Amino acid sequence: MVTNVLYPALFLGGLGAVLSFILLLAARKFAVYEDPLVAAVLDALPNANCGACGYPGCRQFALEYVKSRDTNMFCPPGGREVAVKVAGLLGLEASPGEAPVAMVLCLGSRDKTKQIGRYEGLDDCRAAALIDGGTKVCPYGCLGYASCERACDYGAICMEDGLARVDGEKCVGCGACVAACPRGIIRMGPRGTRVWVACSSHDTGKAVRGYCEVGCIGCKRCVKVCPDDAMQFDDFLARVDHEKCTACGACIAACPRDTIVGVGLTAEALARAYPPAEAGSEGESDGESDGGRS
Amino acid sequence: MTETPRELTVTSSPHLAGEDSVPRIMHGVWLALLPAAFAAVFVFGYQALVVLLLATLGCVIAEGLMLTLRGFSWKAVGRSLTDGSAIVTGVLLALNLPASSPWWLVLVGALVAMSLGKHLFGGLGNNPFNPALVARVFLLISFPTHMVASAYTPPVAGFGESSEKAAARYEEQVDARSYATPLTALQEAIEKSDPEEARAAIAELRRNYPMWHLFVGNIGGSLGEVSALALLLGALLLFWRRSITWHIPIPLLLAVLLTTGLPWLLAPDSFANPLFHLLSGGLLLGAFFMATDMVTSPVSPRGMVVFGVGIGVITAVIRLWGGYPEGISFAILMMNGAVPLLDKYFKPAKFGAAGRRT
Amino acid sequence: MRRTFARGGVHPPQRKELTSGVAISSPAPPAIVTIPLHQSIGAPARAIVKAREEVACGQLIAEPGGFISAPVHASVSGKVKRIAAFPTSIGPSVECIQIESDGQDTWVPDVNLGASECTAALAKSPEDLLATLAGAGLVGLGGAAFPTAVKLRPPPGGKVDTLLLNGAECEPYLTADHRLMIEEAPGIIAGLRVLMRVLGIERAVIGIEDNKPDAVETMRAAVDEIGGVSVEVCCTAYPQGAEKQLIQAILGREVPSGKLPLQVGVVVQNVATAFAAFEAVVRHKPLIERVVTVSGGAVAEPKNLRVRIGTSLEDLVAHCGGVRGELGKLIMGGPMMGKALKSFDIPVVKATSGVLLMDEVEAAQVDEQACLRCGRCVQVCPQGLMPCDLAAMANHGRLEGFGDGADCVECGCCQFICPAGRRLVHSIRFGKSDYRRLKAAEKRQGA
Repeated sequence: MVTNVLYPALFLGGLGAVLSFILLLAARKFAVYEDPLVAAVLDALPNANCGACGYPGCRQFALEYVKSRDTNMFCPPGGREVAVKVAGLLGLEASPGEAPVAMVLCLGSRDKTKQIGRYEGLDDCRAAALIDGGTKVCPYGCLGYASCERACDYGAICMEDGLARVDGEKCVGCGACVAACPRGIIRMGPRGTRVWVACSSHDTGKAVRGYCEVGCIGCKRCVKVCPDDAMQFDDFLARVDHEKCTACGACIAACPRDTIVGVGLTAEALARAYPPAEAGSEGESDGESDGGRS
Repeated sequence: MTETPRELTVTSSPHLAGEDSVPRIMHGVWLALLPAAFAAVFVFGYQALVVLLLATLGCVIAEGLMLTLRGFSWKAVGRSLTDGSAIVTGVLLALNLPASSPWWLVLVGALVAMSLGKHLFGGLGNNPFNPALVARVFLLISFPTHMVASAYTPPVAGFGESSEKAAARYEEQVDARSYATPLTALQEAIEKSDPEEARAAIAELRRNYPMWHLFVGNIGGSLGEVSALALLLGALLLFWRRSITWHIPIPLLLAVLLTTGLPWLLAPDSFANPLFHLLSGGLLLGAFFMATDMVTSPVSPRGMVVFGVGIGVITAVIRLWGGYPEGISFAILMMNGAVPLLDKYFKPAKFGAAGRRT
Repeated sequence: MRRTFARGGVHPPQRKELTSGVAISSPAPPAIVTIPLHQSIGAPARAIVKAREEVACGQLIAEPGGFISAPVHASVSGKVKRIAAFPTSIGPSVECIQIESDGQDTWVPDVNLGASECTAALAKSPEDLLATLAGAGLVGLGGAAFPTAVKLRPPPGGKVDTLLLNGAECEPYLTADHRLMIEEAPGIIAGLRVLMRVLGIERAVIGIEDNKPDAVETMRAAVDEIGGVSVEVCCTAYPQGAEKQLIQAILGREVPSGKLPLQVGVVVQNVATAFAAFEAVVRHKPLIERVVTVSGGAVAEPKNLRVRIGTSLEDLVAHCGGVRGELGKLIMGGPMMGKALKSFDIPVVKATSGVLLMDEVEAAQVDEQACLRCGRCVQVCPQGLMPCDLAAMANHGRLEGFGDGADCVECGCCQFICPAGRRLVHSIRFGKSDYRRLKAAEKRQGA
């Protein structure tokens, strides 16, 4: 009885001891020195390995950060908080940069655009675009098959009535959605206050009117009213220059199609953008919160 | 906004589809199993019929239960139940059981086939192992007393044989009563330590199981093992409907012939001849109906050939040297496990891959 | 032994009898044409006319936009209405020149529509002939629309010994090439000789499927007196008319994966392209019209029509008695590789070999089920791929092993045979496009 237990125990125990000794030797012999700062930085990072920083993963980012001590290196999901923390670990001052945020340049939900045909195929925008699928007549607008929603690791995009909408609070600015969209209607913009023309159509005003209730018709009114010369106009489509834009709200008020969207506007700008007569009907009063209509 | 009056469907090409469909294939398979089922009922009587009906019904109900548990809509459940795949599993399971199986054994088998064998992996198309065989092996290991050879009812009456004649033959075979299937008899024979005795046993085996009986089916065994003729009829139907190709069954049978034939050539007295191996046990059932199960076999033709050869060799090895009299179930399950590898390493040659100019 | 390709293939229902016995008819030019500038593979052409400008039929209205590009000509005489983006079969928004016809059909000078004598034309130098073909805007009319002149100009080092004229027309329903071979055999042969002279070769083979015995006979009679040219019959099997498969069937040469037929010394041209070459060289007529099969269960009178490039499908269908019964799908091209369209407001382009109006029965889709792993797609794939695996990789975004997918020609055999109704071709297309994106992104990151 004793031997029945003893011998296996001795044998297995001995085997374990020998093997752990070999492992110990190997760990000593092949150990690679690594700056403890790398581990510290890695610890501070979100460790989502999303690749938004341009490095394959968080570890590579940490290695490069410690090596270069470049505070311009930025982790978009971590945002300002992580930037300060990481810079602090190296005794540096975080540079003032902030993660951008995604904006959808289309407002053409299903009820606002003309539909044609019946699409039966893969439930994916890029797949639909390959065979000219999708049912919206507009050749520039959101296809509505949620490729961006699936590409977003942070749940910041959701589809509403065939249109992608970004939750600015959840968006970390990694840009995965931009790459996922076959129509290129998602762009990155500044965090905080921003105004953008939510349309991508380069069709003429007449054509846009034919298929969309909220598309840019190229009337240039926004260009004329902008006091900061921030409205660019090219090929029947207006576009906001975020460097120049002061988010005064003048263009929003001027747009006859409600194509221009503003987020994080000041009370004064809001009042200008949505004159009292219209304010109630448009439901834009929640524009203060970051991601109100976006 | 309004929609256009003529609503055109947009899909990717091609815009034509062939006639074959999953239900057509599945219903074809169980139809092809009917001759073997009839043979079983003919040989074993009403007991076989009960097992067949119980297994089929059990599988269909278990499939419905699993689909409901997995949260499918009624419509989806209905569609899956009518596609015939559960019926195929049910009939196959029955053909893998002895006629004397108690009712609960059959139902447990059906439940295991559908749950452990199929829906645990995601249902039709996703199961790596043949559900009917998973159930058979499960029962074989869990309830050996019900699955051992002595449970197989000895032949009642063969084709063109009166019951008196059958009884007489049965009397003649009284020595073989304790091991009623040809393969168990063979197993006992080759395990005899004294070569003289072994040789005598083999000779007796040959007398007890003439080839003709093996072929038409008045022998013992599980339901689907009895009649090679009925199985071949069914297989012909499958070939005719193009539900199966030669890539799996033919290499499989050749491999069995070769592997069992070599020792027989060397010592014809001590080994059963390869034809005996071919016609006895579940080999034909396995080769034509279970190894060819689409879901659990490779997709590439070259992979299929290797798959078939693998099953053949393993079956023969188990029969000749293994602990079980029959090895086809284990062989198929083993090779099922190797399918992803076979698909990876035996891809078809790409057009222009060789870059040859002939 | 009849010739066919070595691996895979399917036998879809032919349904060619709808139009194979009907002679090609030439309806009056339409009142308005919308001519896309991007009709060939490669760069789109650049418009050289302005709105409200008067143009004659056959006048150059857009010049090539790059080395791989083809010019575009006015297909009616009249006034340019506007130059803008329109929905086309190439994409939902493509730059087009819209011309309002004046009803006169005035041709540019120099065009001789009745000419058929080719001796003088054949005496010209290969360089001159090539320039004529390039200037006439010739592209492959089989469906790929590769600029013909580029294809006929082999890169240095490439040696061509055989011209293979593709008259297989393996797509079901389509009979445009079939009718052309019967009605215009001398023209096709003349065009063939032009192409041979440009290539500087003595040997040409015309490949025709055995479901067109009348075309085989007519072509055999037409090539009778010309040395070096033969007509070969091959089996009726899809995709017999795919470039690489036809080369293998007729010449027994296997074009290496990822390479062009030039690699094995062959240039393949469609019979319709040869006829267009004849018209360009002998009649000085640029490529402004082509034969289009209008067929399917939902068209009142299936026909082969010789129509002007830029004619809208609405007009085309009107010439065939309009829509009959319930229309399910509108397809440009053949049923195996054609493109489903959302509206009739789409112009005919140079690559349009057929327009199919499928009724609800023909257009019915098989319910999609889980893949059974039956392996039939693998057995019928003429390219020796594993479509089920490629599709699964694409659907799940596991593209690391998708490299083989580049060999897929999207012939549709796999999806046709699939008993589970899997949308294999769509998945593989999706995978191919995402794989290219992935590789491009990797390259950018590496650089």
